[in-house]
Amino acid sequence: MAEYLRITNDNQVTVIDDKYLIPKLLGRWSFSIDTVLPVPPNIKQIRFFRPYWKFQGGMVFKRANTLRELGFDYDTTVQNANMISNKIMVFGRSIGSNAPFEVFSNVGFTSNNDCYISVSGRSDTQFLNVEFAVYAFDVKLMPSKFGVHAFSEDGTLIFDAMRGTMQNIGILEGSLNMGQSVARTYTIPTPDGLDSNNIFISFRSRPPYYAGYDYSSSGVRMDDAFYVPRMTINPTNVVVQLVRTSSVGKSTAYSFGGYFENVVYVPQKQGTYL
Amino acid sequence: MTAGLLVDYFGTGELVSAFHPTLQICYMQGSIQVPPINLDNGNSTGRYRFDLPSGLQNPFLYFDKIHNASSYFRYVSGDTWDLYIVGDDYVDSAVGRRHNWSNPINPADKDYRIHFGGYRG
Repeated sequence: MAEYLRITNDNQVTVIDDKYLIPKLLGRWSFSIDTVLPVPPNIKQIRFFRPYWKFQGGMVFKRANTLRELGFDYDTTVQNANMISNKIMVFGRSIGSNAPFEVFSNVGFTSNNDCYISVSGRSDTQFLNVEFAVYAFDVKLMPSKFGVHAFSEDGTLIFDAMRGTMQNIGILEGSLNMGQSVARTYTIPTPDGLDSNNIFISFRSRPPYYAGYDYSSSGVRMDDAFYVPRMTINPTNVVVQLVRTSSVGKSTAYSFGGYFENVVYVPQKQGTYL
Repeated sequence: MTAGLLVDYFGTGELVSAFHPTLQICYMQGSIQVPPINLDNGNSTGRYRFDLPSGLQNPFLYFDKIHNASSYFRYVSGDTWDLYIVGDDYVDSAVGRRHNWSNPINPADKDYRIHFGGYRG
């Protein structure tokens, strides 16, 4: 079979061809986490095993009448919007602060013919600026209207020049010291000549949960906490720490969850690529 | 001017590099369908062990999102990895801890997959 596309890098290694799918950048933007979140009702009574953050923010970075106009090659239904939502991935980084935060992406469809793709973020630090990059993997995209498209034998759009590439730096994985104030510290060296401000981490894991109790003369005290990522961006590395949201008792009651995230380098500038 | 693959992303006439010249580029290689998994009632966690094709160092991995659950991976040894699925729980002061999920966490009629890829370069 003919080979229609092969791009090699400076190391003479093939990095793009017409065999393997290249993740596609849909958008890179930043926003401020500025809105005060209401304190959940009965926080002491009913408590989900997810952190409660104090502030949130976000943005819709593209809006259209149909999913195809939005850029996804599917009929416009709530089911398809949910399916796409589950198959795109958001990566984030904090700007000028190492306050812990989370980001989420969503593809939604409202009844008045309004499809949108959005990213929201939450933090306990008001006005934290967060930058995000959203990528699509095995979701069918409408090809860009111009540029270069490479298709595989089975007709899958595997490279779209107008949607960039995704460059990996590593993964965040392994055991956690649950119960400690910092459960794990990952140091990601910034490769030579690269800009630390282009390094993003994914947000797929639910923050690990820990509950502990202490005995004292006044009785039993039980507290719980989550471990949330704190990113510190230095010129030569990016440090990600999983930090405890509050202090807890020393004896373990519950401890579960784990952490696995991908670290990527996004050379493309801010913009909508969808 | 140095050699490179340049793209005018926004039609403004500004050509920028499509990728960094020496950094590895992510590619997706395949996927593994995960059979229905039942979470443990105690720790709300289920595990699925799988093997990646040999030679994927620091693979790019993700699992399709499941409603009311989250997931993470742990490296085991060789090319073997574990996928952990953790269901969302809540605590109700009247009745204690309750599950916000039901088994199997990934019903057979929905196609939930582990997607894997690697780096080239």
